[in-house]
Amino acid sequence: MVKGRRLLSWAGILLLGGAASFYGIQAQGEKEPLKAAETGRPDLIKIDTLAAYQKLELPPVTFLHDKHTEALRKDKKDCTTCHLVEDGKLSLAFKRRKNTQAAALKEIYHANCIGCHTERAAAGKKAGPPEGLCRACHNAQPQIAAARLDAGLNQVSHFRHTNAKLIPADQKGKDNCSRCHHEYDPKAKKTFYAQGKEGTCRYCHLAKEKQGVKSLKQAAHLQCVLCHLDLDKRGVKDNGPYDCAGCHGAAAQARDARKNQEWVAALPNKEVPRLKRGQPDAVLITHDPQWGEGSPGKPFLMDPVAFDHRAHEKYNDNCRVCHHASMEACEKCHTLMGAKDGGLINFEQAMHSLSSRASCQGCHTGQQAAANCAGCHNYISKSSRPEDASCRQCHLLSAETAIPGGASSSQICALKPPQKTALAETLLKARNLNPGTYALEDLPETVEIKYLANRFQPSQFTHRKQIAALLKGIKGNTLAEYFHRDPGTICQGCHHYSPPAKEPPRCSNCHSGESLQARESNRPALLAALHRQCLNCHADMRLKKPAATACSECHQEKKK
Amino acid sequence: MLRRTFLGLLGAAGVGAALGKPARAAGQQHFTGYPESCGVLFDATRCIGCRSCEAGCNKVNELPPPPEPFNDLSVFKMKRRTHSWTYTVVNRYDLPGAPGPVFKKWQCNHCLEPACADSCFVRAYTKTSQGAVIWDGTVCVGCRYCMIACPFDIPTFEFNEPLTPRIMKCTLCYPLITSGKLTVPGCVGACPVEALVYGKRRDLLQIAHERFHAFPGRYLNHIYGEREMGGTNWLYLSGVPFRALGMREDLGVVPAPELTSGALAAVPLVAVTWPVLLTGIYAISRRKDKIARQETAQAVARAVAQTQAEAEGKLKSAMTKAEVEKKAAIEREVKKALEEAAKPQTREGE
Amino acid sequence: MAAENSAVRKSLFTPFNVVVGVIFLVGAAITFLRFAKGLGAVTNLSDNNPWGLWIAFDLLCGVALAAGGYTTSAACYVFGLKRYHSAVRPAILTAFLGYSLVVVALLYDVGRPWRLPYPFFVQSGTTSVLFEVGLCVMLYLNTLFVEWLPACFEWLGFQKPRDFIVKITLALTILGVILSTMHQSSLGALYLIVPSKVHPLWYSMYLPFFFFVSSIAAGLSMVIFEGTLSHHYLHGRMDATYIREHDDVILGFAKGAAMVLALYFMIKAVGIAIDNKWSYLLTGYGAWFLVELLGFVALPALLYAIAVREQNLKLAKWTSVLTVLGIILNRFNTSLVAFNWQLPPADRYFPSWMEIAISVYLITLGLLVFRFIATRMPIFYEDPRYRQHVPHEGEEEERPEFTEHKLRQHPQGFGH
Repeated sequence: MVKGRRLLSWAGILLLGGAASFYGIQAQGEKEPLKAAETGRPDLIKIDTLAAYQKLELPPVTFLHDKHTEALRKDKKDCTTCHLVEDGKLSLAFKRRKNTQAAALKEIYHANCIGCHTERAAAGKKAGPPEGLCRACHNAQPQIAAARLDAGLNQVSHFRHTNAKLIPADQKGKDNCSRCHHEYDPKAKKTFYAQGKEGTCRYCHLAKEKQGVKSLKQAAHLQCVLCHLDLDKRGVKDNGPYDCAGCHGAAAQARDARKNQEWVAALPNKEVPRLKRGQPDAVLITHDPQWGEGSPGKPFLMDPVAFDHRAHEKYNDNCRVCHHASMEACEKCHTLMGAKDGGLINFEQAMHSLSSRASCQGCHTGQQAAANCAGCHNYISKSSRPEDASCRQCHLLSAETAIPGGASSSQICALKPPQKTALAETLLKARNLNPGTYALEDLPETVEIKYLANRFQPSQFTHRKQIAALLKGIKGNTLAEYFHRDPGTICQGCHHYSPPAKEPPRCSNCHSGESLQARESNRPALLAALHRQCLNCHADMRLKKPAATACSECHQEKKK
Repeated sequence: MLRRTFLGLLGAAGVGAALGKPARAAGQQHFTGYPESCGVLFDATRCIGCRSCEAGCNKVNELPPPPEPFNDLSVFKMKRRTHSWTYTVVNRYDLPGAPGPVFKKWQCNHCLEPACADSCFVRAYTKTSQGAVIWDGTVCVGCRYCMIACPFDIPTFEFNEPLTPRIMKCTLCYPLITSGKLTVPGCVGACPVEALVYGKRRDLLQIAHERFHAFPGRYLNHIYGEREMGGTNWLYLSGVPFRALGMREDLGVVPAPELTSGALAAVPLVAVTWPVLLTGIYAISRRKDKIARQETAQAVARAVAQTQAEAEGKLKSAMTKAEVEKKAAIEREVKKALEEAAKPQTREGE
Repeated sequence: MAAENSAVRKSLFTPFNVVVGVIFLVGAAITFLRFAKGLGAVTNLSDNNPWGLWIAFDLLCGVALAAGGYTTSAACYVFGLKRYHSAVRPAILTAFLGYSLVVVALLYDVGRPWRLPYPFFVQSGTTSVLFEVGLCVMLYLNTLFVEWLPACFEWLGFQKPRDFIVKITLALTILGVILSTMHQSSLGALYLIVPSKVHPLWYSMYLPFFFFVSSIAAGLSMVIFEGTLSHHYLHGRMDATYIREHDDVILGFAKGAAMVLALYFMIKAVGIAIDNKWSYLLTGYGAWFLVELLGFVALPALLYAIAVREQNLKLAKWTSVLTVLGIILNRFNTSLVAFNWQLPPADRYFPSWMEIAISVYLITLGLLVFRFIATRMPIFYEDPRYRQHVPHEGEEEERPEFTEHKLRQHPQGFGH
């Protein structure tokens, strides 16, 4: 074999191998062992500003904000070290007021970051990576991940702010709402306080900056953090957090929750007083008179709903749950036919949609998923139309009988607001709120279920005990108590698909014993009906005992 | 051939063509199942993992008793598959974040276009119009290609039977139902919570959709088996992703026969093309050899002729040369002789 | 007499005989066990792994490596490459024995071996690729048998039947190529039905092509390999023609194999590219695939080409071993390694020692029968009685001056 040929072939093989490894195998850096505390930090910011301009040459920078503020604080330096002041307001961007060109941006970051590091290192202080160690900052696989919890106000913390003496009231009155709540005048390009129109920041400050309106992140930081910092500068002790971990860290949030609890426990009624925004106690929900009379001869008919606004304020942490886009009445955007403002969701859907937490029925249905309720409610089909009696729980009285002497719904909806409110209050007061059920003594204590007793003995079902348990589950829950007022309602969990009655029909009336062939889509045969009725309830109510496969706990096996 | 014969053949061909059925393009066919075929709908949100179905199947099919009794739930520690003594198994899946364990019953899925039936070279499998895919033991050779072919790994083989090993798999209780002994398969009849429902496949699909509608959020909006591998008669509903239940989601919707029909279609093509191709190659190579031989012969003949001509020419020149030399020699000799003759005369004259 | 007997007895217990004897005894014992207790007692087959070593090696490799029969006879008779004529009979014999052993192995592997004829005579599953494999193998085995018969008839002295078969050699060869194309590719097509079980790097819609093309390379390499072994052990049976043509056969087949292997490499690359499976190459299975493709396909192609260029017989012979191993590796990979790749390691298959023993036993059986036939029948030599009588079909009757006919008519046709 000619020597040259052999060399050539080996060279070829090596070349192929080299090419394969060059493209295939990635260099692996040494991994430092992770410190437990460092696995998730709330102050981790990924700086990838240039990604909006071009494809990044290096991975985004992993920047730890709190680490830097801590270091600066030790040197008695403040935010203005990195954040420029613009018109008396701090710019949230780094060393600039706005983004210009890519090259300029890169220079700003490199010069300032590395410059500061170099200075500190020269002064002998602990500093970040110097010039040349690009990947120390542009780390493709940082060992630390961002672990930022969403932060915000809840009812308690909001009240702590409104109640705080540190936030002084404005000149006009006793309330300090104007310190945070504002509206914006686009013509004058200024914010101003509009009393009675306070709402959540999120109505205008959205997730992303839009047409000059700051994003929620920017607004919140500017509003909250700067105020807290200001207080801190003044030497106030209980000044609220201003570093990332203070709001977004899990430890801080847990501490805050505990503090809120202690604070509430110290209040006179042990509950937060009602938010003051001049909201009504009761609302009569009717259709909007501006929708007109409908087609001639076919007026709109909607039995009004008396809504207990005051009670519902207690059930939710904030107003946003229902007033999800604005504080106005729902029918402003959710019109009869649906409008663009309302996302084309019409009035009926807005009130009844099962999939939205903001709709009445949606929220109520969501509550049914709780363990106490799920045993019955998980198996009530959502595709069939609810019964009239269920509608009547909210649409209390037909329009004709609402006002003595009768009135049509169009007359009712044309009433003035004070009249409507009065009518709503009347209707609400007239409701019977006592949960009704049949007297337990009238109901059988045990029921012997003898059906299909082949392999097993008949089951002795502790009927009264189960009903008592269900009643106990409702107790204290206003929603459940309200909707289970009528006697026989709670029985419908098991005695279903028949009118409520003290002596409901037998299971075998509808569930046949033979033929497990599929006939009616969801009506099981008797064996499955009996088993699923009990077993499903146990499973969904998270009962560990009796286990579904522990047959003898419900019925003894027949000895052969 | 004679004109008559030709016309006769033409006529016969025409008649033959007219009698045939209309041709349909093979690629566009899509088998949607026999209209009355029945199947089973399994609902994983209902199954409680009691193994009554396994017990029921074992009983109606008179299978050998298993090592552990059917109410022994510790078998769930391991994931099991079907074996020659069990047509169906229930497996338990504990998923992170789920409120409780989820169970899955696994058995032959009775595909609309079964891979086992397609792959069997003695047609031991039949897809019945009732829906079941059944195995015929009177012709099975025991080659086990069906076990290779099944994408769900269902058919099992009696490896410990030396001379009469059988393929064992769920029969959808076909013999029992058609003979009237049962109205529903043994497993379906045994389930206490109706996690299994037996009926016409199209009804089952409808029921499944009704369940999706009635209980939104409870089910994944997918019926496993509706289209997988071309569709199966055993349909599955679940509230968790099917792959979390050990069911393959990457099988695609192409039925198994379509995977091999292309390769098989090439066979008659080869059988017809190769003879022509190879005979052609042979003819060409033979012709090449013949031409080569002829050219060689011609070259040889030319060479021979050339040599001959050269030789003749040489001979001729040699001959003429010899002639000339001969003449010259004769002349020389004559001259010599004359000289010789002249010599003694002079001697005598002295 | 006694001394003679003991001498005879001594000569029976040669090392070779002893080893073969042990293999046969073990084989017989395992055969008995297989038919007394079933496959489960003898193999590691299970419901998850129904096909094991006997299918992977004895069926798939056996058929692939017996491809020398059709490639050699096609080269000689269809493509007219007469200089390979002396290699045809050994190749046919190898192929015939190879296919016979495939059938014998099936008798072990299949659940009810006496039903093997059922697909052809009782009920045919024509939708099955396996049916096509079985039919073609059966027909081809018969074709090979007929192609082998002239050697047998020459030994037995049946001239007329021998002459008749020799007359239809071309037809038999063409039939052999057709049947081989079909069943070699169908063995690959067997796995088309399970894309979910074969690793994406080995599964391709081109599997039939892969198996067919690689079978050509396998056949050519096996002829070289078998020729090398025969040359070493059966040299005494070879005639001058065979010995003279031997080197040419090796180099010529090496050239063909180089090109076929290069083609195979390229179609494998196309198979990866067309389904965009490049990313799989960077996995563990990918590394193994590259070992198979680069070390056992690309490398032998290169080495064969070098051997032909340099007229290096030794290199060609060693490369044939490499190629044969590569084919075995490919069949094993497709049916055992890449098959069921998604199963957890505990459920994977490895052959039991008894399966390996039976495969060894079958190979030994084949070698013995090969030796028996080659030492008695005109395989490596031409029986002089038959040389003049009937020329091969297609040959001209004329006797051109520049052939070696005169040389062939040596009174002692064989021996050296």
